Amino acid sequence: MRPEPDDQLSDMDLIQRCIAGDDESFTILYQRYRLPLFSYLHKLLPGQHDRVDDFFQQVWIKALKNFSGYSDQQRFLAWLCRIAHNLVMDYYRSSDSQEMSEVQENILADGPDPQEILMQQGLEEALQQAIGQLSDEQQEIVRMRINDISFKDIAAQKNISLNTALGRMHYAVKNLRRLLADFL
Amino acid sequence: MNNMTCDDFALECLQADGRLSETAREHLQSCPDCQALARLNSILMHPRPSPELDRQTLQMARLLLHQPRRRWWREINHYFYAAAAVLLILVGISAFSLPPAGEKSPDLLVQNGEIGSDTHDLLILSYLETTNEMDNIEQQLYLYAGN
Repeated sequence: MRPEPDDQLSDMDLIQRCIAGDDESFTILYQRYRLPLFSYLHKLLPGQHDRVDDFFQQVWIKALKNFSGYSDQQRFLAWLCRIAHNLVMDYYRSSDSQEMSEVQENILADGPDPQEILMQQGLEEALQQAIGQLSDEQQEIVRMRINDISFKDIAAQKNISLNTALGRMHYAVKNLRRLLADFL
Repeated sequence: MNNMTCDDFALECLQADGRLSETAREHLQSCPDCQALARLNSILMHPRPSPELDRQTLQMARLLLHQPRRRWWREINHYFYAAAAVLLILVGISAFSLPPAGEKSPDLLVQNGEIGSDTHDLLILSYLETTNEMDNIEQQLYLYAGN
């Protein structure tokens, strides 16, 4: 009987298991690289949330279809980023050259640092756990801010003043700092 | 002298969207607590896929992973069948075009020297026959005209 997928497995092992049809291994791989890839796409396409979402899915699908072509010599994240870059370039090449030059500028001017983002992987899990320990009010406001909802909109939605919204967030961040003291 | 308090900094940092005032930046450089707060805030505001996007992507991946794989020999199977059918038809045609048993084939007649094999000779023969026939017709017309 095959052993259960493990978070400690190398990328190559997980990929081999994916090729064999193991979707749990894919989920581990996905959790490992979803944030850095998403961040990379955001840097390629700043402010274009819908396109980022589309490309994010396309990258994973293309990667999945080409797992057999992945070699252990390159880092998996670099491989994913290359797929993302090529997909974005192909898209703009076939649509609008002006937009494409803007994308190239984004890449050159503000290149991603996946290694740094990747270091936040452990932090991300701890952060989610810490948010779960906040009071309901604070959890709610933190999650809304994570979803990029402005304080003005939060205040309007929750029928509270802007200062109250800011105050709740301030306390939430203070509590998170305490809970995440080992990481910060 | 920077008069900004940590609470003021926190309020500005939470709303800053990545851009801090000069005063806030000065305060940040000198305050380790606010550095930690700013770092936490940037982590909180870091772009991340929505739970719905995660769900959709993983669902699509599962579908792809469980899709039956198409093997190369299955890909070429229909070409193989087409080639086999063409070959069968050719064999059938050649079998039906053979002469019945006991009948000599034209090739065999040629090989035996019973008829000339050279097309050129056959053409000359045909031409001569036509010329002779034309001469005969001409002669008969001359005779009619003479009478």
